[in-house]
Amino acid sequence: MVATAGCAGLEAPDSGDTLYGPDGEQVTLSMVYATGSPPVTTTMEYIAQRLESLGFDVERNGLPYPDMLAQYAQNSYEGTTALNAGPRDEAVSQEPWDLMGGVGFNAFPRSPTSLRTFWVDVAERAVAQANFFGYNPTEALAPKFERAATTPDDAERRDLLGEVFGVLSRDQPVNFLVFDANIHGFARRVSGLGEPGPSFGYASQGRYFGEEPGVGGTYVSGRSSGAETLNPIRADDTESDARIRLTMDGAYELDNDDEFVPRWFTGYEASEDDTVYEFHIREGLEWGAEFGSMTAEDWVYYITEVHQAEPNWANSLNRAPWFRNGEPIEVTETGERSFEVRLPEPDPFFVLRPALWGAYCLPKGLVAEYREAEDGEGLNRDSGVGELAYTGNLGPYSFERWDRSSVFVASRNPDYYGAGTLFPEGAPFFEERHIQTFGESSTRLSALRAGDIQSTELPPDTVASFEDDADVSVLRTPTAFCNMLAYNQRANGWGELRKPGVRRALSTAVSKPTIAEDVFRGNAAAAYTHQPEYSRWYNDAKVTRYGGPNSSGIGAARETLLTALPEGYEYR
Amino acid sequence: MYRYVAGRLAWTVFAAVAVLSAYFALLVLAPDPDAAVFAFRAAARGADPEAAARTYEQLRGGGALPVRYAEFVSNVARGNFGWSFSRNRPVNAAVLDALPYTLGYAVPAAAFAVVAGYAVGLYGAFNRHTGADRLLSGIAFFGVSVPNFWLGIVCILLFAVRAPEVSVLGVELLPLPSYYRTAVVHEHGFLSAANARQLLLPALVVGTGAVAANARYARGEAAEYVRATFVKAARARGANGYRAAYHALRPALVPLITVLLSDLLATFLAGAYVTEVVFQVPGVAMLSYEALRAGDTPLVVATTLLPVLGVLLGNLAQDIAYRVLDPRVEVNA
Repeated sequence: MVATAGCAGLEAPDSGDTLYGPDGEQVTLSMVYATGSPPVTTTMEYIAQRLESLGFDVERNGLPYPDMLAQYAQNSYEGTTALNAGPRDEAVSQEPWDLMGGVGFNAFPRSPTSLRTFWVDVAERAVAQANFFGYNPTEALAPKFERAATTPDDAERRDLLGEVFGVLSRDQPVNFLVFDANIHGFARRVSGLGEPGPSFGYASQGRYFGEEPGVGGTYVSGRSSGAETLNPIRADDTESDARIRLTMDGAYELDNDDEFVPRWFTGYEASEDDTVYEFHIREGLEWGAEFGSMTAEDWVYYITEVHQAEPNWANSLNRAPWFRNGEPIEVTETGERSFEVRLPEPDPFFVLRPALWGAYCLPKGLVAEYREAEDGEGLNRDSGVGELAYTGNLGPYSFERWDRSSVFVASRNPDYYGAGTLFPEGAPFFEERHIQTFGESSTRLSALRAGDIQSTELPPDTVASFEDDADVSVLRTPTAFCNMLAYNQRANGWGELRKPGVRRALSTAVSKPTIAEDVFRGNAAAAYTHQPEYSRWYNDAKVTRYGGPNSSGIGAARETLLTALPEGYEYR
Repeated sequence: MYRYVAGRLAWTVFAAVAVLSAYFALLVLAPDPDAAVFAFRAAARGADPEAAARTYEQLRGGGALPVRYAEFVSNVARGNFGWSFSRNRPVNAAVLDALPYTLGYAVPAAAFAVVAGYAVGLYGAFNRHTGADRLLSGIAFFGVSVPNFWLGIVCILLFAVRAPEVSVLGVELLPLPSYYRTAVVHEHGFLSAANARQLLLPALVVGTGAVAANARYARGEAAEYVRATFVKAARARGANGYRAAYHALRPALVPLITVLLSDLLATFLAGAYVTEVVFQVPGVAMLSYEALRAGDTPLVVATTLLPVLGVLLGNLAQDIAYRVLDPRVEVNA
């Protein structure tokens, strides 16, 4: 008996196990994935085996992440190469592919309308800049995103975003797999760690050794990669930020509940229509290198002459939040230590966006020297920038040295503005903070076991052994980073992947709880849409859980597939 | 002889320029996948992809190819390798900072490899097929075969993580540091006991392969002379074992020099990359590795030049040494 696609409800079990296409050949899917992460490699192997059970032949191709993006994600059209260079029927990647693993996108639960760049119609290139997989939603998502971004009505926003994430769960433009958890290993003697949560570590200035806060000791954290730069203008990687942040607190923080936590800024006021935000700068913030006090003039100059400058003379990598519809956002001083941001349209998320959240600033006196000549490279090479000499009392530690490939060293800043105000008197409590880079993961983990470093992130497969270590405490914090398997809906992918039913079938065959529990060893949460379940924008009633705990696996997947595929496909 | 040396020097310079030009061409013409990562990050932020591409090009110090090559050749000729964008500092300074860290373990490892390797080899040659010879041969084969990265990781586990605390006269012997700390150098200096202590494992790992290689070669070469008439004559005149070994070593040194200078350098170069990454030694190999990953052409060229010059000069020195050690050898300029 032959089960033929297009005939809903056919009993599949009596037919063969192999899916044949109209050309009489077994349907082959080309899977590419990024190598280097054992959980990702195992996940891809698991998915490949599940799809083989569904009757496909799966060709696996693992390669380094940058190469994968260059050869498979970027596509070209009329001389332009980008992640969404043109129409999905014409703009295709250098190499053909069907499934792509080892990619993931942050779900931005604080400002989910930022996700437009992934999920609106691939034809809307100006917005859908990251839609490399060629997704065209079954319902128009752009207006929902647009309305959610501007409405002052929070209930309406939740409803709209709930619908968006519901559509994504049903459309399965990618197979949402799991949300990672960050797993931190700390030497047991480190105290004041704070509550695990999405913003874990936002108050790390208060950490100390022992039972009671007291100054002493060197705290070494081990990281798996090094920083790219200490120039805040050109820093867009977490490693650079981790080092800079030891010397500068930034404008403000957000806590685990997304509440504004004062740092350099004491507070803000928003207009009723969420178009005007006025921020207030703390008194007593002093730049180093004789640049005087931090004022609103520094901030306005920095935003307008660095982030918004045309051309981008300083090569700022943090420009995007300071433009709306291609136009710079208006920023003006309202006092010596206050300034306002005037948005062209309402944005209730503005404080939650990375425009000013955690933002750094450079003194006007330092930047202006290079601004007139548009000498961004000169500013970058300025020793004051490279050695963070301007940071004054703005952070808990002061730059000591940076031995590239090895360690970043900062010493306790006795003039720290936050001591006795934001944190207890005497803060920070370590004489020195070191951030040590490790090129080899096993050396980094050995250093934690040996007590040579005080904290590092742990791979899932090592957690159990560290939990048995009396000298190490293990903390898990949820992340909004969603691991995915992208389906290529451009012209060089399997054409049937454009059908939501086919994508649903493939996603149904893959059990997310299995990946979370068996591959990530319980250190991840199953994902069914591009929003974690703890997010306030996740509406369980609207989300369909393909590949969830109640999914009936291969049998159900096969039935869905048979229904979705056109005539000509059959199981034999 | 002088003409010979001058000719070899000219060849060395030519070969160095050829290798560097080939490197430059390879690096410049090779695809740059990091551009895709940069573009992806920019797109995820909602940034304009074309503007992001321009920014990336500027950050990498791009420009017309002939101009870049001319600048590169001019810089190299003046001994100035230009600016490293990934280090945000002059290339020369980056290399000079890294060099002492590499020498810190490479020099002791080389000395260890020569002394221990020849000693083990000679012992084996004079005591062939004994139990001790078989044991040392086994260790030598193990040393040659074992991958440096595996040996490094195991050494860290044994001597840093699981080792008991051992002190003698108040000096802490074990455990050893689990990774290389530049802070020790800043506090105590390069030539300090504390620095020597943390260089012990990297030197051991790099040296092991070289010791084993030297031992095998020394054993093979010396074995030819153990039963030679002049060694027997020396023994007949009452020479003890050490003296007899000296007599056997002298003629064996000529072919061994070949091994010493070329194979040893090659072993070190291959081992240095792995060793520096495993032990986190911020030396020239680590610098080179990171420059390659970042596509930082000037820095790659500079860090490649050092070993290339090392091998070329090593070959030159080897040929000269060959002539000095055995005056019968003819040289042709």
